[in-house]
Amino acid sequence: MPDVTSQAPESYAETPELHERIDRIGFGLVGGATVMFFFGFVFAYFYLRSLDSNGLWRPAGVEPPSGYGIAIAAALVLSALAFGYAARVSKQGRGGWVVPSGIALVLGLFACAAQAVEYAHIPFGPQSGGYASVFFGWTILYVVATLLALYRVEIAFAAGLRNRGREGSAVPEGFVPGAMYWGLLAAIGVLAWIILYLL
Amino acid sequence: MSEAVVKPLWRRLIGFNLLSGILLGIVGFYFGWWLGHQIHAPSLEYFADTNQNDVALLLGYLFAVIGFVAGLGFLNYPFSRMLGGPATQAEKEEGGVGRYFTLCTDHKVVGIQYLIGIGFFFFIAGMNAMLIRAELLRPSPQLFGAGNYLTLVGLHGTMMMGIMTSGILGPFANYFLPLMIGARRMAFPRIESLTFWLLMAAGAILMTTLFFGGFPTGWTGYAPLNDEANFGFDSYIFFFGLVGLSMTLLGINMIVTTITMRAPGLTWGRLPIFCWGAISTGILMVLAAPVLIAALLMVAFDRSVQTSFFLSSGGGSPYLFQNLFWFFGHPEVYVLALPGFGIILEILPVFARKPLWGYRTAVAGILGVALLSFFVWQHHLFVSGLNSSLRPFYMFSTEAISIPTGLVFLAGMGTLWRAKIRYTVPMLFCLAWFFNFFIGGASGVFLSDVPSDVATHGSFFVMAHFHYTIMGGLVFAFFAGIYYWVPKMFGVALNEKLGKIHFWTMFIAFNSTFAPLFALGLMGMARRVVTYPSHLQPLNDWVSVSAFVLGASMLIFLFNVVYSLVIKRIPAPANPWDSHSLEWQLPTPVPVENFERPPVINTDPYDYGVPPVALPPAPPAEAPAPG
Ligand SMILES: [Cu+2]
Repeated sequence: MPDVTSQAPESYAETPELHERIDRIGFGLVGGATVMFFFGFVFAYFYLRSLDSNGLWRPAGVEPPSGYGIAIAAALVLSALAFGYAARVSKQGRGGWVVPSGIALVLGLFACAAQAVEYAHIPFGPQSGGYASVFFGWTILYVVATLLALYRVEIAFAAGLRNRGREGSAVPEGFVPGAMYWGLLAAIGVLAWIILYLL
Repeated sequence: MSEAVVKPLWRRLIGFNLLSGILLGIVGFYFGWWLGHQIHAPSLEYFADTNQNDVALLLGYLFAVIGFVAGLGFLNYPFSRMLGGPATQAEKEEGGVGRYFTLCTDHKVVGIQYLIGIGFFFFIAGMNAMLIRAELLRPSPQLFGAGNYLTLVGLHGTMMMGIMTSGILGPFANYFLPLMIGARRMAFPRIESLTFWLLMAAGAILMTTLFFGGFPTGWTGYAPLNDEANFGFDSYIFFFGLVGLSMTLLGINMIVTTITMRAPGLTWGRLPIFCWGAISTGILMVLAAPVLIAALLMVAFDRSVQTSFFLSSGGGSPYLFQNLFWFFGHPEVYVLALPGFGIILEILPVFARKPLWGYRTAVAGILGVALLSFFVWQHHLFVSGLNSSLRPFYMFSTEAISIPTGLVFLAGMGTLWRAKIRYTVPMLFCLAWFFNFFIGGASGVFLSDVPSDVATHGSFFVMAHFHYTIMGGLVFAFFAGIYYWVPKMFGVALNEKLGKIHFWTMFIAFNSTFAPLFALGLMGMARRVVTYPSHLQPLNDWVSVSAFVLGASMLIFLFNVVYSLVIKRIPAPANPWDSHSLEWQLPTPVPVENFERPPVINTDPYDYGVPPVALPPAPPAEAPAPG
């Protein structure tokens, strides 16, 4: 192929740096998609609230129990911090990232469980107006997104368990980007708490 | 790959493949259906009265999709990772035709899967169009009632707008983008395969709407009809949701691959224009499709757990759906158009034998269209009672899109200027694209303009406009791509003479079908309505006959495929068009690993007629081959 290319002497090398880069940009884009997805619910919240169709945006008594909101948001933040810490440790090549990953996993699952329990104790239902629609829609799908994101936390934890004793050399690929994504999702969870419980 | 033992057929059918996927999909459907019927709540009691349990149907589809992807083998790798297994980049794959019926991480296999899968649904949706035109031969209902006609229109529109979002990126970008950038694979090979199978699941689900009474909304699925529709609408929700998911993942894959896997020397300024089209489409997919998924899930919640997102009687608003839908929907039409821009500008220099004129201008045009497309969506809602002070903004932002689109045209015209054009079949489709897309674009200006939009909204004028942009743009570019790249994909070229007959029949019939629709629209013929004033019958009959000829032109194409690819099979040279771009420098068939060693790019991609640049010294001949 004369006037287009020559060939490099070295062969293809799939370096860990390449994989890290792929994961970083990939997670960045998944993060963008996630933001746009929940943007739909933020838009719905403010749009329906400003319209207040038939005065049914938020009838009296449609008030989620605030304790659950705080518990869920706190669990999400702590989980993201724990996993962020784990990612930091793993980046330094040290071994202490398995336990914080496990803690992050447990806290994340706790947030999902708390959400499920809240549904059983909530004084209104999905059919109680515009706010209730946004509340249920957003939180149900947030739990789904959380469970999907926890997959990344789980595989880090599982890889750590499997390689016990040599964690320093067995860091799963894409740890840091995964932790950043989990942080972003937790931030969306906090945003949900602010909008759905505090506003 | 050892080919010592060929397993018997029955043994090869057992495993993770399409057959297991379909079987598990059916099992999943009935499981979800059963599960849905076990759920009881006071607010769901009306399901029993209507005999239409949306919860059961939605769960049925959900578990069908899960079963389908599990049967294809997509869950194996995540499970192994959850058990602490290592990360890998590819599946263990056997050779042979079996690869086309399962999870395959070879991007070339996925490209061909897409080409055939999309072709299948394009054919079905095209048949729907033929039925629509058959119905419209007479002004009063004859073949279908008003309801079935709506379903027919909805199926045609939804399938075309959904499946064809990946019409160019699916087959051609998956196959050729890695080759054009000198890579061996896509960044996420499993996700690449998943996007294809999700799209096929989506298409199959949409067709099942026929068992559940169809849906009355057309492709836009407007509220409150979407909340009120009978449960055939659930298949629309699932179809577009899966398409949205597939699009998002496809877009991520395109962007990450282009950013991270380019060969040495392939700077952004040397990236083939088709890749620019692919990544700008990718950006639109990643940012717009999630909003569609969110909106559809809101409809699903309204229909199942009785929320009231879109019911103003329950504190919601139908306009919420319309806004979310078009926030996705307008970028969506550029998801359809931009890969077409890419193909056209990619092919043009090859047959004009000139460098692409104004490469940077063209790139700016493509990116400009992508960016602007997020700021125009309200032009679909000019007559919705939207605050009239918002109208000028959306009118001007929409009209502003003609500037970057104009840059793309400028690059094309500059390339053609004083060129020695070779009128091959792909080139004819490219030139027709300019003709069609110009009419589509110019008629779009009338629709972006508030006064004329108010008069033409919901009429056949709109229909004619978007068929000129999407069929005249996307589908013509799609065929340009097929005729151009088939020699590389299959090692056999399509017959030139039959190709020309196909082109001229299609081009003339296309214009003869859709140009009169502008007139019909201006005379007041409404979209999605089975009846029309009887004085419009002569023009409608003209359109219908033209449409049948247009359909027949596809049969010429199919005949060409069978004749050239199955019967004659005359081997094509490795680079039949004398193209300078990287994918044509590879041997045909393309080796499994694409490149033995990374190519180094020394020149611009379109340096036709330019004297060759001095090469750096060749690599030492004794360089060891990679293991
Ligand atoms: Cu638009």
